[in-house]
Amino acid sequence: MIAQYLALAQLHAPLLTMLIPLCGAALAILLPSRAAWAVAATAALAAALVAVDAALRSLLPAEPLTATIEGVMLYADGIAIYTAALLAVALALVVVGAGAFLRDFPAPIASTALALSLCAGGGWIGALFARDLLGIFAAVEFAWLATVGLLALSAERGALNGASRMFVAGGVSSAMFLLGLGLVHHGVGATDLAVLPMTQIEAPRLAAAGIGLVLLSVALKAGVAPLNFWIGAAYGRASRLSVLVLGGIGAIGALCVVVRLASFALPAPAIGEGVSITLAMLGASSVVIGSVQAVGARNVLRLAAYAGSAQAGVALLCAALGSPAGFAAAVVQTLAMLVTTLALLGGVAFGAGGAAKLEALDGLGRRSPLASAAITASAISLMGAPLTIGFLGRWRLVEAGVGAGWWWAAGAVIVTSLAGVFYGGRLVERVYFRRVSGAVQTASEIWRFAGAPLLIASVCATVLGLAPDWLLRAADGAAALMAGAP
Amino acid sequence: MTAELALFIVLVAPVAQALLVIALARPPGLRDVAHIAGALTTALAALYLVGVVADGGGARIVLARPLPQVDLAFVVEPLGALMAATLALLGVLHAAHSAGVVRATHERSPARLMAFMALAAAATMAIAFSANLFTFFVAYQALILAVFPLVAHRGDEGARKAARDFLATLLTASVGLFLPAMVWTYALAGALEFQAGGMLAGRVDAVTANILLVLYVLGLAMAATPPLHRWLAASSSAPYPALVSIQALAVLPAGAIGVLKIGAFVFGPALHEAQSATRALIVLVGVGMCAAALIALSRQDIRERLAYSAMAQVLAVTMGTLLALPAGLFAAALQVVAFACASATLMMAAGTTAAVTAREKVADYAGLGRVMPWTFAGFAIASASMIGLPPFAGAWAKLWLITASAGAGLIWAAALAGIAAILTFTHLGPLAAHALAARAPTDAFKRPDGASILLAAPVVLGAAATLLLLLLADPLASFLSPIWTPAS
Amino acid sequence: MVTLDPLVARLLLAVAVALLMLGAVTAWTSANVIKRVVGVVLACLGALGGLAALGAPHAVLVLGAGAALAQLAMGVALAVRLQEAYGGVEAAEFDQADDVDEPAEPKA
Repeated sequence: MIAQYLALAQLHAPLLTMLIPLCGAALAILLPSRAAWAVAATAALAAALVAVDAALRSLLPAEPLTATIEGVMLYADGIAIYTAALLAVALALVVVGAGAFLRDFPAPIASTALALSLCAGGGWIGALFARDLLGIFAAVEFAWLATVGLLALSAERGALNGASRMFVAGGVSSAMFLLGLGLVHHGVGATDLAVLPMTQIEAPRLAAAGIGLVLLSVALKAGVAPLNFWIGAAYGRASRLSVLVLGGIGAIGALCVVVRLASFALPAPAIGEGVSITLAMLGASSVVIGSVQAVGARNVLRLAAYAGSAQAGVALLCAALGSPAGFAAAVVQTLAMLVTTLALLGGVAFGAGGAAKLEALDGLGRRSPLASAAITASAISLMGAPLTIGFLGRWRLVEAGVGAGWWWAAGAVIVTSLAGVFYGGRLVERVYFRRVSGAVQTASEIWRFAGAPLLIASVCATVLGLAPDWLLRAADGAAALMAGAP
Repeated sequence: MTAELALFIVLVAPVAQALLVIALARPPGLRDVAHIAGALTTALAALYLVGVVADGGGARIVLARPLPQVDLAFVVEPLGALMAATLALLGVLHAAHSAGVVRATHERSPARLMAFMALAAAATMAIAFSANLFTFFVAYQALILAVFPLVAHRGDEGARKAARDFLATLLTASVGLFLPAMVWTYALAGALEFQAGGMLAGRVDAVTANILLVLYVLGLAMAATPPLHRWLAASSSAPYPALVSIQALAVLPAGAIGVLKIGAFVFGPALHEAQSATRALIVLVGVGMCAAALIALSRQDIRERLAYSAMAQVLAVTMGTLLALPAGLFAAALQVVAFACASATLMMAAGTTAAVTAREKVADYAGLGRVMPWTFAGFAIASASMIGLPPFAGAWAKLWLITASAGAGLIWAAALAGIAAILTFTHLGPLAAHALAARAPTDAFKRPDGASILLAAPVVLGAAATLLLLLLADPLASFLSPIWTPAS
Repeated sequence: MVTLDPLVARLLLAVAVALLMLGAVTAWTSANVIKRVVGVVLACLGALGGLAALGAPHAVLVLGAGAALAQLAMGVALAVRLQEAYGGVEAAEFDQADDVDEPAEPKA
């Protein structure tokens, strides 16, 4: 009996990965904060389990999931399976870690915050599995508004200001997406992504403009520079939970959606070249602008956001190549971005109490060794030190780029790493080589250990570059299963 | 013991040493025993590997495969074995000396200092035995990160700034110059494995070879090639034991080994394709040698003077390599060995002097040899070797360098090497003579009972090593010959 | 589905795009939160008009209208919270109050 249910769950893995967090959210909002946390953590862990199981079953042997007929237009291509697993695991780690942050919110609001976190995760996962642009739009809007709502729940009023900037950016990007959707429908005759690579496009210019608008819209939500005008305000004063959701779920989810959209659009002969150029320009500008912004940042949360922009740029460059090698590199780079973001933001949230200024990291090495290890791991990975996941992602871009004759892509990697030397080095110096000025209050309650899984996982994932065989196999599997027929 | 096991021990023993030193931080006796025992284990294993190579053997271990077709691998070959053995043997003296210094000066966080010195030694061993460019790059980055805390050890604003400069210069050069060169090489050769005879030989045109050579040489900022040399003087505010690591046993030698490996195993005969770059770089390092020796003369702080003096020496390695001749490569390899012995001895002597007398100004050295005869005898011998006076080790290296320069038809390069030697004499010769011959100072020392055996013996033994090389020039030439005469 | 005359459709599309851009510019440049909300709603309306002009299916129009409503609700809620927290609805006041706590960073 149980085996049958498990088989059924495996059969509907994409739907469950999306629905479990949403059901968890519905339940959590009704419960008191600690009970809500237990339910939310259970739901997020269950979703992660389902997603990882699906990824292992599908990507390592490079075999498509057997049945994905859900009646709600889902499509489990390789990139969706890979990135949804990443997102589900990140969501589980963040929600489990949220146990340490519940006191940041008044009691009834804590449950709402947890529910919104799950909604954000479920929304982005839904966007990753959605089969047509309409589904993607609905899921993205759902996730985005949940994140804006979560940010607005922060105790500090500065976060409200950030939420209002996010709202404006999201509102305009929604309008762009809608118009893009209309143009794609008009140009292609459908909004189903799966038909895009194989259909004869009647009005390629309209379709290209539509896809371009859709990509720009989601890239804006991923914080890709120069469309990242909102992230400074949004990250700068966000509460600990919202900054983790914003960076570890929202930005990564949006980037994954962009990469997945590109995997459908680039093989389409009529529009592929235009999409490739758009992505390459966006990626290159994000690398340069994000790196410069991160070097100038004095607020560690913003630094993480800007460094994320630079990393996202590398992923876009990978995707712009359009080849399976490029998409394999893009998903590896997405993982690198996720790991470094979670390690840095997690280290700050759990170790430095979510304090935003760089000075808050002074002497952290003595006060909070695990959080310091996570921040250091993130910094080293951002520098692109060999054997880290950061290096692996960039090396894959270089390999794929050189193979395609895109020599300048190596330049983007160098820029990212050089800037990483400056801001990553600054982080390490503050953590280990400065003494704290003034008294620092440290949380002594047992709940602070809730952050341990996230910190340990991010440190371990940083050194995945040491033995990345299975990871590269999964990435190659994701690329092999992309944009196939349903 | 198999060669593979010995190689593994060489790489792992310093890491274990670092962990033990931290774990056994108190009592200090146990900490120092762990520190010296770890260094000794590394040295014995490295010596064993020299024996293996001398018998025509070799070994290779692969720790991981982090990239498709690229291993994190280490290999025993003559150049790496010689460098590792030299640095590991000197490392034993340094371990004993640093134990003495931290006790005499009541250094803050001595266990941390020793641990990072051990990690720096581990990274240097990894550089010496690296089997390919990727492994070299990994070890090089690890060395930068291991030495960064040594430079910042004092913890004040000056030390932090020096550490930031150190990190920024070395990482920026390695990421901005060396990494692109590595990627380019990978694209050209399809592999990153070091090969006797050069992996680029026959695969590279003149323009590419010129650009690649410049990227590699400048990217290896540890070799202190101008203008990427400022980190060296800036880091001279570090504690003396750390300075021995930076200037004599880890950072500068690692840069020199890197240049040698690039010259011998990446380019080989392809250096002839990069004639414009080799000429330009020889001018740069030749003038740099003279300028560094001249700047050293102007410095009154002994640490800064020795830093610039060491820079002049290490640039000679780059010059020898760029001559693109077997004699040049041999001169460069010999220069690394001689320079490491002499520089470590000088810096240890300066450390002993500072620990005992708290004197760090050159002018204050006058007559100290009369009250610290062993230490300053070592100082004088090491100075003679740095200058290139026969029969000390440095003389042979410089003789080979000048001969190779003349052999390459670059008389002006030989002249530059000669001028640098004279300038080295001017900043070290009178200093040593004054310390030995002037009247003994009359004011009280910081430690009136003088230097302990841990402070004096390593200096004397280090000086003796510079004499020992007198006997080893010929055996070393045949030992190293496989690096320029690859088996077909 | 009602089929529009091609000329009318083009005209409607142009107006819709203009409305979208006007809304976007208003939302991005206005210092007043209420005006920003209005700008976002205008942009959404423009997008909906564009969809209609392009002959998008009803499902898209309905979803778009729903999304616009959600944006409006979120915007109004934020405006109320901002008014409560800062005692005003001008962005300059928010930034000034925030800058008291933390100086601005250099722009890229």
